[in-house]
Amino acid sequence: MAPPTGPRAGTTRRATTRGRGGGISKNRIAPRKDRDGDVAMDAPAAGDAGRGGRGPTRGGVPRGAPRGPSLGTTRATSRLAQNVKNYLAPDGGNSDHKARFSRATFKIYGLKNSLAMTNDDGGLAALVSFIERKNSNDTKQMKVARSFKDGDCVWVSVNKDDASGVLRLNGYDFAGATITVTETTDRMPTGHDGMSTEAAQTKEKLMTVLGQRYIPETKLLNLSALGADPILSSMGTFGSTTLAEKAFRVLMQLASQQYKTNNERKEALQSVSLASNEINDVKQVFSLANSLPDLKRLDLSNNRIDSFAGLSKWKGHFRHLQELHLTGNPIAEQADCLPELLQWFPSLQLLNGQQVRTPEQAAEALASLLPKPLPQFPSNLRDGDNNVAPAFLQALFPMYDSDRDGLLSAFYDDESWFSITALPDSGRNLPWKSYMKYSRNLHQPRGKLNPMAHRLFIGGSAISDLWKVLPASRHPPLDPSTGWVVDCHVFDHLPDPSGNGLGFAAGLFINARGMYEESDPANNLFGVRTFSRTFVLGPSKAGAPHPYRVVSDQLTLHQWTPAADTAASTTQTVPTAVVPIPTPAAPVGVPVLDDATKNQLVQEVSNRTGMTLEYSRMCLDTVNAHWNIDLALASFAQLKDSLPAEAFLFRA
Amino acid sequence: MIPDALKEPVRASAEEAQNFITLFYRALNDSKPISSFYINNNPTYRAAGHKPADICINGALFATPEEYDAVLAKQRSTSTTTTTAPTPTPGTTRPTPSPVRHDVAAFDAHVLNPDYRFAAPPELLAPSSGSGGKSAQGVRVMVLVSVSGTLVLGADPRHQEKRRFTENFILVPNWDAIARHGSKATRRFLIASDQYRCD
Repeated sequence: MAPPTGPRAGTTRRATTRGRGGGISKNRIAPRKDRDGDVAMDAPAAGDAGRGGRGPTRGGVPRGAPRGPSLGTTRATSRLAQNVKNYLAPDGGNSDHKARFSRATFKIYGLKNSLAMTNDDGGLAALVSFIERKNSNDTKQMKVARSFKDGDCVWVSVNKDDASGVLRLNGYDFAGATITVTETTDRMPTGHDGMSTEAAQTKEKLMTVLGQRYIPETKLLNLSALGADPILSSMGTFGSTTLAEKAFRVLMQLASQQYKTNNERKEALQSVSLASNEINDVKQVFSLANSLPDLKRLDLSNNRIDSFAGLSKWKGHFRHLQELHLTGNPIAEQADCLPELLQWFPSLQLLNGQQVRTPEQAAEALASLLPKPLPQFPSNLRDGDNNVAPAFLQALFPMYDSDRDGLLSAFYDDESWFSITALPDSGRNLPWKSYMKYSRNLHQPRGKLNPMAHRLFIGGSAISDLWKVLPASRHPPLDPSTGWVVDCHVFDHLPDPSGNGLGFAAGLFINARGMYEESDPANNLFGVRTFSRTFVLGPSKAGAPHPYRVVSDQLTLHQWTPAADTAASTTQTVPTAVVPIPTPAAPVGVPVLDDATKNQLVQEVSNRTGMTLEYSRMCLDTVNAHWNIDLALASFAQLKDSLPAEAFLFRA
Repeated sequence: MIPDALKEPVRASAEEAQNFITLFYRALNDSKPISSFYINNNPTYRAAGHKPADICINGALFATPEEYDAVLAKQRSTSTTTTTAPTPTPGTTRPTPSPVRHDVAAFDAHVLNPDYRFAAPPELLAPSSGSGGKSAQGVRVMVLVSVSGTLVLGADPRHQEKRRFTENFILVPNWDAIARHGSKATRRFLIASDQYRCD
C-alpha cells in the first residue's frame, strides 16, 4: 500500500463508522465551534433565540430569521464568512486543522446537465443549498463546510456525522439532472495560493479596500466609516455583526501580512483611524491589537464607546501608543478617565490632542512594565589577598594570544581540563565554523548523554593540539575600561596534590567575561567575539613552574561581529572595545617573529630585568610592547614595583 | 581522548549536571524558592562544618540563599506585567508565565575532584564494595558547571527584553539523597558556589 493513501483511508473508514455509531454529540462540537467562529457580541434579533427548538442560536445569522428579503442575503453572507475562514485557515487555522480530520469529502458529478448550470457560479451555490436542505430538519441545520467546483466535478466536505446523509443523495435528481455522489479520500483542490477561488476573490477585494485606505505619507491606515465603503457593502460584509468582525479581522491580517518583518510593519504602519464605525466596545475590533501591536497613533473618535468596559479589552495592549483620540464618544465626557488610560497605555502622551505625559514620563512608565535585571556591580575579586587571579589572567591572555604552547607549559599539566562551548545565535552560523567541531554543549534536556561529551581535552598535549587549530586571538589589556568583568573567590575541597587522597586543597574559582579580536584566515573570518571563560586553579604538583595550575578551563563563546561591522555596531556589551582592526593580510595575533628570535628577546629582557623567562616573555608580548624590547623595558620600569615576587629569578 | 579512569566521572558529571540544571531552572522559572539547592541548609554538610555557599550575583555577594530568594521575589513583583498580561488565547490553559525567566541554551561540566569525600558517609567511601559502593563511585565528584542562556524579562512574548546570562556552579554530592538512591527528581547535587552574571 502506498504510504500516503494508507493512513488516510484508515482515517476515513474509522470516521464513517463513528458517524453512524455513537459519539455524535462529541463529534458535533468541532463543526459548531467552527461555524460560529467568534461569538457574536450583539445577539441577533431578539425573537431568534426561541426558534429552532433545542440548542441556542448559532452565532451566525440563522436561516429563516424574520428580516425581510434576508434569505438571499444570508446565503451570500454566510458564503463570505466561509471564504473568510478559508482564507484565515492557513495562518490562524488550528481549528481548521482539527476540523479537517473530522470532515468527510465527496465528489459530486452531474451538475453540468442540470438547469442550475446556467447560474452565475455554475450552480455550485444551488447544489450546496440542496445538500444542506436535504440534510436539515426542524431541530438540526446541516451545513457544508467547504465546497469547490472543479470543471464537471463539485467537491464538498461536511462533518463526518453528516457523511451518510450526503452519500444518500447518490442518484437523486437535482434541478433536472441525476447526480452521482462518491466519497473520496483525496484532498479537495483549492484555488491559487491554497485558497478556493471565492476566497481569492474576497482577498482581492479586501486588498483593494486596504490599498485605497492606506496613506503612505502619514503611515496611516484610514479605516474610518467602513460601513459606507462601497466595496465592503457590495460584499455583504455588514450583513451581520459577526460577519463585520470577521471581515475586520481579515483586513487586519492582510494589512499586517504586507510586511516581511515586524520592524518593517512597525515602521510603515504607525497610525490607524477607526473613527465613525459605531463601535461601542473595542472587542469588536480587538484584532487590531494582535495585528498591529506597535501602533503609535489611534483615532477612535465618533464612535459609541461609553465606559471603560468598552475599552478594557485593549488594556495591556498597544504599549507604544502615543496618541489616542476618543472625541465624540460618550466616554470622552467623563472627567476622571485620564489616570486609568495612562495606566493602560504606558506610552500615551497625547489624548484628544492634549499633552498628558512628557516623552520622559512615558519612557519611564513603559520601562516599569518589565522586571529589571538584578543590578550590576563591578568585578568581585576575592582571591585571598595575594592577587593571584589578576596576575594569572594578566599572564594568561597575552600568552594565549601569542604563545599557546608556552602558556600550556607554564600553567597546565597532564590533568588540566579544557573545553569550548560555542553558542550559535542570531542565525549567523558561518562564524561558528572555526569552533563547531570542538564545541561541547551538554544540554540535552530530554535525551541521553550528549554525544558531544567526548569533546573534552584533558592534559597539556591534547589541549595543545586543539589550540593549534583554534583561530588566532587578541584580548585587550585586562582593565575594566575594556569591558572585562572578573569574579573570583577561593573554595575548598580540591584533591590534595600530594595524591594521598586524604587531605583537601583550596582552589580559586575565576570567571572572566570580555571580548577578543579573532582571526581565522582558513575560513576567512575576522571579527570580534564576546566570551565567558571559567577557570579553576589549584595547587601544582611538585616541580611545576608555578605554585598553582589550571585544573579546569571552560571557554564559552557568545556573539561574533564581523570586523567590518565593529566600528559601526560599537558592540553594546563592551563599549570601549573597538580596537583598530587589523587588515586581513596581517591577521591579529599571528606572530611576526620566529620563535628563535623571540627566545633571544626573552633572554635579553630577563638578563636586563632579573625577571624569570616567563615574565620576560609576558612583558614583551603585550599589545603595547608587541615584541619591541625598548617598549617592554619601559613598561617593566613602570610596573616592577607591582610585580609579584615570583616574577623574579632571585627574591629581593 | 578521555582516560578510562575518568570515563565514569565524566559521564556522571554530565548527567548529574543536566539533572541539576533541569530542576534548578525549573524552580527558578516557576517562581519557587531555590534556597534548598544550596549547601547551606543541608544538615550533613552543616554538621561537618562546611562553609556556606558562595553566592555572587552580578558581582554582589549574598550571605544566604534566602537573601537571594528574597531579591528574586522582589524582582518578579516589581513589574506591573502580571496585572496587564493579555487575556490568554482561548483553548490554551497554560499557567501564568513567570515575568522573569532563564532559558538555558548550553552548559558544560568538568570534574574538579573525581574522588570527593568531604562529609561522605563511610558506606559511600568504600571503593566498589557491594552495590552501594559501585553506584557512588562515579557520583562522588565535585563538578564545575558553566551555564549560558537567555534571561527573558516580561511574561508577554510581544513585550520582552532579552539578555544573555552565564552562571557557573561548583556542585557537590548531596550525600543524603545519594545514600537513599533517590530518584531523578531529588536534589542529588548541591551548590557550593554560584557565580552569576547577565549582560
